[in-house]
Amino acid sequence: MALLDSFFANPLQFANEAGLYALLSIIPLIIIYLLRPRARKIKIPSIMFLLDIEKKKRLNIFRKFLKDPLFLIQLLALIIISLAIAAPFIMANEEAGGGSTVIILDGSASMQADGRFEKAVVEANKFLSTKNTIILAQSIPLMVMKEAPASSAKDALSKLKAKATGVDLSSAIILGRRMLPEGGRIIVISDFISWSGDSPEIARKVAEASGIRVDFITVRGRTDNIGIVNGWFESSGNYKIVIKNFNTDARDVKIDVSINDKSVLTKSINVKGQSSEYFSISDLNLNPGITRISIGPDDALAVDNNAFVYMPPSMQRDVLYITDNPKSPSIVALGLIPDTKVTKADPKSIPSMSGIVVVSAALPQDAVKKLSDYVSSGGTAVIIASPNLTDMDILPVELGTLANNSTSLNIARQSTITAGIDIEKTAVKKYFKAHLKNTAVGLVESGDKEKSAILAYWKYGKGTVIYSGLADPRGNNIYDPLNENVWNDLHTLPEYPIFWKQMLEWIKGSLDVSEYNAKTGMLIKFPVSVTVNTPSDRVTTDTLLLDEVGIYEVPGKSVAVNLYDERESNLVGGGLPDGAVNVSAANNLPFNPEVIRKPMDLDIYFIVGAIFLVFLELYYLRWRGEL
Amino acid sequence: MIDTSFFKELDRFSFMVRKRVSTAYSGSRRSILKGRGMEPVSYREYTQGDDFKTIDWKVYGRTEKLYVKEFEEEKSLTTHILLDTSKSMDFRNKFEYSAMLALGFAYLVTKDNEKFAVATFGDDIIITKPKRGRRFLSLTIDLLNEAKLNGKTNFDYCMEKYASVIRSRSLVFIISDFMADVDAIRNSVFRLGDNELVLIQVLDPLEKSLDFGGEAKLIDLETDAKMDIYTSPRLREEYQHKLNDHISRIKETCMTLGADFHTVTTDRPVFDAIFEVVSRREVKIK
Repeated sequence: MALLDSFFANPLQFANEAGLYALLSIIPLIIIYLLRPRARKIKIPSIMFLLDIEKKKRLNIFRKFLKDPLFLIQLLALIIISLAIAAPFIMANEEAGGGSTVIILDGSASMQADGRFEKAVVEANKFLSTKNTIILAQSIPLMVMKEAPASSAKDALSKLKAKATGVDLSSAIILGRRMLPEGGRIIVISDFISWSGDSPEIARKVAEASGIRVDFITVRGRTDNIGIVNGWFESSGNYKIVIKNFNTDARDVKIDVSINDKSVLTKSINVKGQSSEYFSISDLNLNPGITRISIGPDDALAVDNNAFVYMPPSMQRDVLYITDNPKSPSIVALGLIPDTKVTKADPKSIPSMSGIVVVSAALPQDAVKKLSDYVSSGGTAVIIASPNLTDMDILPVELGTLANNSTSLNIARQSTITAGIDIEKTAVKKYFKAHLKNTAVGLVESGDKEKSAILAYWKYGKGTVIYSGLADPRGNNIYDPLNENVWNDLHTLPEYPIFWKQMLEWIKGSLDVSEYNAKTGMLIKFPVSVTVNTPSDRVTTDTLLLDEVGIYEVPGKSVAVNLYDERESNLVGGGLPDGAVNVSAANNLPFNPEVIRKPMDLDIYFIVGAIFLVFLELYYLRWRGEL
Repeated sequence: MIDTSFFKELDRFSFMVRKRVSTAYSGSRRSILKGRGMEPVSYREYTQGDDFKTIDWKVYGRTEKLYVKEFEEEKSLTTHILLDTSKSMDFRNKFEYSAMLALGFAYLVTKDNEKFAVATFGDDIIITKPKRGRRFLSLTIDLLNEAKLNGKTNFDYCMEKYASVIRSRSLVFIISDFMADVDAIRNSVFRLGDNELVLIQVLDPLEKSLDFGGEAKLIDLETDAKMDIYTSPRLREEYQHKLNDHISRIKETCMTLGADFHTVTTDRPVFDAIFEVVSRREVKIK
């Protein structure tokens, strides 16, 4: 009776009632069966054996009713196909949005404090429904699972861990909204201490405007914390960190510094409540490897109690300066560049070449050969114009005659060498007329009609040769504009040392340690998929989100990654946005999914039924021995 | 309708059989019994109780002793042919075929101047007295031509009744489709088991294969029972299985009694069927 009640309360309906006309197709079938030739009457000696066979078959109760099973199967198949065309459906109870729930778990660093993330997972399990999408909110939201059943979602939740990044809750909510095109529910579980991007409340309103219910669940824990909230290299090579005490009372902080797992420093400082202290580690730039700075005692958040610094093994640039002009201003300029060691050499006695070779003199034949071999094998040479410079194969230009007329300079191609330098203001009195060789690239050219190459480079073998037509002044009185030995006034410009610094950086790249030391939340993109050793795992990816504190080993280098996020370290800060639900309240409120009446399409079931009947007919024919 | 042309063909056939099968159904079988007869086989001294008529007075005249003649009692094998005339035999040429078989055996017996009797049975059995001679054979043809096919086969009753009229060990042919309860057939075979028994089952090919091609309304000739069937390969297979099972059970009974059992279909030349039966008998007699 209950079944009948349910049927009458929820009758079969049709979205395409015109499709019911297809039921008329059963009329021809019935007519064909009625019109088919009547069975021939045949008198035979005895039907005793046939009666025996039939008697056995009649034990099957269905056989009593199914005189012609084939007809019945065909009739049923036609009826079901016709009904399928009419798009049948029933109104069924369904959770809003098809029972879809998006669970957004805050995976930021602050969620590591005092088991907050584990509490969040417990809360999340209470809200699992038929279809669950799980998003781990970090600086970039990460889709963990899409439209999975509750059991799978539960498994996935149990494997999740909080990361060491900040969190962009609004982006995660917007992503969750995109996952619910037919409505549903978004549960955001966070400590709501801090976030980047828009306020989660704004994102909630946007989602609710789309008919999606958004609930904020707050998880809390201990708030005592002292953390390293920043760190950087000073120009002196010292590394300075900022230790902040987020507690209200002053605390003694023990600092341990170890370089390559060898303890080098232990110190204790007192940090007042709600204030910061600086701590500097001297000459860290001179200690290649991994430096670990730890502070104690333990507190609610461990992830900001450690900082890592990575110094590459070689931070120093070696410059071999071959000149017969020891007072050349470029030597002085190069010497001013940090981490640069300049070795002077006389053209007559050139030591073995290494680093960047700068030539500002006429070279003997054997030295030219030596330089050519060095560059061919991958070295870099900068050849500066000088009075006795002769044409060489390795030069990117064809040297012509010496021009003795004043000219201005023009940038032929923008490059980092000349960036920020008023090269056009340089007055040039003497220069070699020079034409670019094939494959050479001109960066600066003379302002006259001939447009002689003044600064150019090319690849020679495996190495690079840069030609600078801006000759260094020779002898004394190099700032005297009337001095014949002064070919140009570049050396008088304040940007002159920068010009050389940029030249070296262009050649060897910037040696900024920030390249090796990053903050969590940064994204590194690789041109191809690479295998990276993260502090806890080994992954192969072409896009790497730095979401753990520690050392990442990417191809070619190591990167030290630190939290350095005062907002994440401040476990006291922030607060509930309007409308957020307190975790304790959530515990008491049972989760009641919103149930709506929604049409449930049945056509697929009808089609499956029709296919089944077709196969049944085939099977019956085969059983009868006719196939 | 059976006519005399059948006997002309049977004559030729008989000659062929005679060449290949000698003394198969010869009535001139040596009897082991001594008694009244034409040919004296020995003499012995008279003892009290001997028939005076048997005393050889010529020998007494020569020897003055009383001797009696001993004769071999002549013994012939009477053949009884029992032909099924139930309604189930009224299917296409099934009865004509069976009748020709019966007459074929009768003819062979007549050739040897032995006695035979042809009885028709269905619900009841019509018994004729065994006789010899061509005239009796002709009468038998008329009898079979006029036979009415009706009723069911009452094997038990008919065979019991016939067994009571067989006086001495005889050769008994039962020609039927044996479409009856296998227990009834078994009982009848046992009743006639004292004789040399030959069972010949005659079936129509269509009856055997049930190949009616699709749907058919079957009517039982004997019971008028009706049945709608679709003669699918599967049904025919099951039918074949049942029929073969039925035949096997009859065969099994025959083997127990040392009787012969033959199944022939009406599409087979009747002489082939007779030849098959005769050959088997010959082998057995030898």
